[in-house]
Amino acid sequence: MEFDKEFWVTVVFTFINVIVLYIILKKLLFKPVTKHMDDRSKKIQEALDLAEEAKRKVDEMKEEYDAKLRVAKEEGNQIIADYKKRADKEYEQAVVTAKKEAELIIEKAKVELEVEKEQLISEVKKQMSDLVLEASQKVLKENINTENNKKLISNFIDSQTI
Amino acid sequence: MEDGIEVIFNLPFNIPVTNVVIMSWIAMAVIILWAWASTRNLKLVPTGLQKTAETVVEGITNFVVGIIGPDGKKFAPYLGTVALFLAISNTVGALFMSELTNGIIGPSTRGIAIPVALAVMTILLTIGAGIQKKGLLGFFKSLFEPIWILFPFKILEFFIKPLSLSMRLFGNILGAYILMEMIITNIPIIFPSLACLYFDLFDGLLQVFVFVLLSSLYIAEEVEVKEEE
Repeated sequence: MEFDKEFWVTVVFTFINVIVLYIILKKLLFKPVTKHMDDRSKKIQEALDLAEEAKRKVDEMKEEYDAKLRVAKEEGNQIIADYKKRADKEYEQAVVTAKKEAELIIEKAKVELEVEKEQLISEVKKQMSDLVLEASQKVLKENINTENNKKLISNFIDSQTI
Repeated sequence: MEDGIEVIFNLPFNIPVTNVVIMSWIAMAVIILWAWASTRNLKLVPTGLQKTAETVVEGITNFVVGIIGPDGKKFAPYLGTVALFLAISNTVGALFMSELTNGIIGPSTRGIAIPVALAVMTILLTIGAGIQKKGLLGFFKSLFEPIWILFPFKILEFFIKPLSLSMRLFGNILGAYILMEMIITNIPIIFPSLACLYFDLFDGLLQVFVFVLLSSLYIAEEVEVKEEE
């Protein structure tokens, strides 16, 4: 081989060929494919970011709902406790009232009983004195100062405890 | 020894067109057709030819960026072009059509002209990259670094580098081509198929790798950022 005309022409042809091929491939292959792959990377990154963001949002919402739920539960417990307290109070009051009423009734009954007893005793006493008087009159067959006797008998009966 | 390079026809003004030039055109046509077909309809999820295009582009870009650094991205299209061009030019001998086609469908880098042209372009690109990175003055200054006495050797380097690049490529491919021709003439059955795996495919692709690797290293040497003392 020698450095003749063919050699130089081939060298020049190769320069032209490679430069043309470079320009065409850069336009047709490297630029679009590189851009396409960068775009895809960006898209994937964006999708990942979006998913991350969504997850974060969901977590936030969950926390919020948890807090709300907790507050609601607390409120419910509070309400129940309040009602229990009120119910207890009312119950106690009712019991106290009932007790008082019962006592009142018992007291009244006692008083009535006492009065009745008293009446009954005085009645019995009266009748007994009459009876005794009558009997003694019959026995003595004479009426000695009725008024005095009556008093005497009454005193006697009173001195006796029933 | 015959490298089988002939003038096939003459253009006007008596410009000779050799069979290796025609092979270059065929290689270009194949590459452009492939590039066009594979990037015609880029989809988000790659299918079919698009995968090959993405693999080639990403592979070359990563390779070049891995050697040159982040600056290497802009050199990827040129080095990729050279790689694709050489990948077809070096391995086409495996088709065994050299005899039938007047040496057109044969490894076109078996002639010295195409390797020389590629090596000269690479060294010009290297110098250009150095000037772009350091400025014209900075580039000349870098020829005297680390000491002035190295200046002649630095100048010599601009001739040694393309020479070694082109001679290595040309020698390997021509040697393989001649060996294959001998094997085909002497043992025309079975053995050429086995030998072509090594001489045409393996050696051809290895030379592509070496050529692109060295080109990247030369460029990296020029554009590397010097640490300030």
